[in-house]
Amino acid sequence: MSLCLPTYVVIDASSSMKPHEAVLNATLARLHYNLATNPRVSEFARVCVVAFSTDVHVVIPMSDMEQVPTMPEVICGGRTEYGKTFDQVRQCIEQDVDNLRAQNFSVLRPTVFFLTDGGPTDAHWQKSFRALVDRSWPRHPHVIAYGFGGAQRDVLEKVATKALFIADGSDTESALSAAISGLLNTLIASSKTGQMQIATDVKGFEYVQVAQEYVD
Amino acid sequence: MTERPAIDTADSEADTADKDAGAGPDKGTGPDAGAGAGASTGTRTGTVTADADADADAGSRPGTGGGRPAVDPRGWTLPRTVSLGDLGPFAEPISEHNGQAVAVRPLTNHPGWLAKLYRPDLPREDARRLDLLISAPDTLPEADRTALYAGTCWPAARITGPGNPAVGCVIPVAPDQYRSELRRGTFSERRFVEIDWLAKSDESIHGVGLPRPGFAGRLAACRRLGELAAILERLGLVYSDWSFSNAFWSPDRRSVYLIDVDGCQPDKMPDIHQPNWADPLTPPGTDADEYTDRYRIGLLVAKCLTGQRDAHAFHTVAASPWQNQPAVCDVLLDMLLATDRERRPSAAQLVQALNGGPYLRAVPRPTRSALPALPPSPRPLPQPQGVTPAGKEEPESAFARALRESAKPTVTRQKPAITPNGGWILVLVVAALLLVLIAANH
Repeated sequence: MSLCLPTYVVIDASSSMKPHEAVLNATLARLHYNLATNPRVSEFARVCVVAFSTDVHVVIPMSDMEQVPTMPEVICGGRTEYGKTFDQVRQCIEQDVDNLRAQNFSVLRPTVFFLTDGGPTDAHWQKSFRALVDRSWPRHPHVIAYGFGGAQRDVLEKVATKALFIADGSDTESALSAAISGLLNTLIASSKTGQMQIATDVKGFEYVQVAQEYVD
Repeated sequence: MTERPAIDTADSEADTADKDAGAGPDKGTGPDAGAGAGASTGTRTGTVTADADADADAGSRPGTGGGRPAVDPRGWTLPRTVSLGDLGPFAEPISEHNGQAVAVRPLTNHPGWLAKLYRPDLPREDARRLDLLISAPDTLPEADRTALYAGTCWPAARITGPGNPAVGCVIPVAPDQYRSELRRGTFSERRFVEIDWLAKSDESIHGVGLPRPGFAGRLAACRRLGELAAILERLGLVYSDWSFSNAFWSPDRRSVYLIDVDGCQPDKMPDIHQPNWADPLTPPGTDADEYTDRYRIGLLVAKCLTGQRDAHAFHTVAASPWQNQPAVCDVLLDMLLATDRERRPSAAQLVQALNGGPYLRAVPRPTRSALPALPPSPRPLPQPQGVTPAGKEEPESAFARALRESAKPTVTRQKPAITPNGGWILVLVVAALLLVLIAANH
């Protein structure tokens, strides 16, 4: 059975990202290119892209990116609703792990790459987050968070269960590009070994080691 | 619901995550370093053993090292043992923290050559092993030596440093013929083509702008792989690292190029784990040997020959679709499924089969395990949709609708081809209309 890492790229598409929408889409297109032209990586890391603001949207359902002809464009606008996003990701994981196993994959713990430039605008997001990373749920994912722009470090320290990257003052567009490069390098390294290998050297970001799985 | 243990394996290893972080798929860059006319004098096919005459410590002398005068048909002009200072300045690394190497850096004063610098914790006796590798081609017949130099980044010299007899080694840059422009969407990049691509369908390969290999292209590349494996086998070397990531493929020349061969060891070596390449008969924690290599080269050839990556490759091989290579099916299935690992056929037997020859065995055919189960047909992808936390469908917001619309794959409608008859009808209709217009104006 082939190993498979269910990978969720969860991107903040709220109004604060509107000025950077073109860069966001170009960066996502680059991610798609790099995954689609590396068969070994796209075979190992099945990817789902989720954009969130006031609503949550599955931009690309769990896919072998080589089979995805083009990366759809994300339109930014609205609030930064974390809670709905975590609910949606949990729902996706439940369904995707079933599907991958039905295809004879040996499924590794899912990994969520959470990219945001702002703090949550919903008050009760933590309840949804706890449900997502609840260790009694056997499919609970790792969360690797990248914060830039107006992202709140104290919030992301709660969200990141595996690694946290905080932009060290880089502008949003450079940080976005670097975060996607870091994500990609993590997937490339992990595909080589079949284990989570986090690329910690991400240009313009401070790597914050997460000492424990998550903090209540 | 009971979860399978595999889902937890990422946890147990995750804290060791950093060591290879950032390693990309590119390994080595630059212009040609192919084999030149043979200059080496050795004609004997030899086996590399630990008793070979190699003076690991002599190389620690700066300047001359202990290496013999350079007689490298690829054009390496310095001795086979050189100090860091002998090499002159290094250019910026083209790769860092990749496997055993901390960096791979071009040699500014020696175009076409790279210094592969090892982690400092490698054992001291590694110097002796490297010397054995560097001199091993001398023992080969001319044709094999030429093939080895042309098809691998075989090390040319051991690099010594203060107090360290094996800081690294000098290797040739992979020839530029292994680079191609890979296109997808609006992006395009010229880079090395890993043999990974050959384990995809012709349509997938064409989808990134590479020429379709067809069976002939696949067969040619697999022959080259088999020939290189057979040479290593004759030298008594274990490579262990047969996989998609350690060979480049030239679609135009139908050739392959092995990298990371400086890690080869005589007889056995630690099994290099790569997902989906585990030999079922080499238990975890035990060394890889020639029989492990036989499994992996069989798996690589099966995938590249069929263009399939999973159990389908095994089933396609079993269907034996190659009439001009009738023995390939049995050789590959024995390499992959023999229940006695020591009765796996050799790389030389595989080459013979790929060349259309028979499957000659000195021992009875091994029994085989069953073919792996085929995965079910993939389900159609669910369509992106606006979903609330409760999972209920609700009226979409403008944002969600816009995203959904944009999420639809762009479909370019193909213009219907005009058949020859259709073309004539169109011409006649246009001519009739012109006549009517001319008549109306007179």
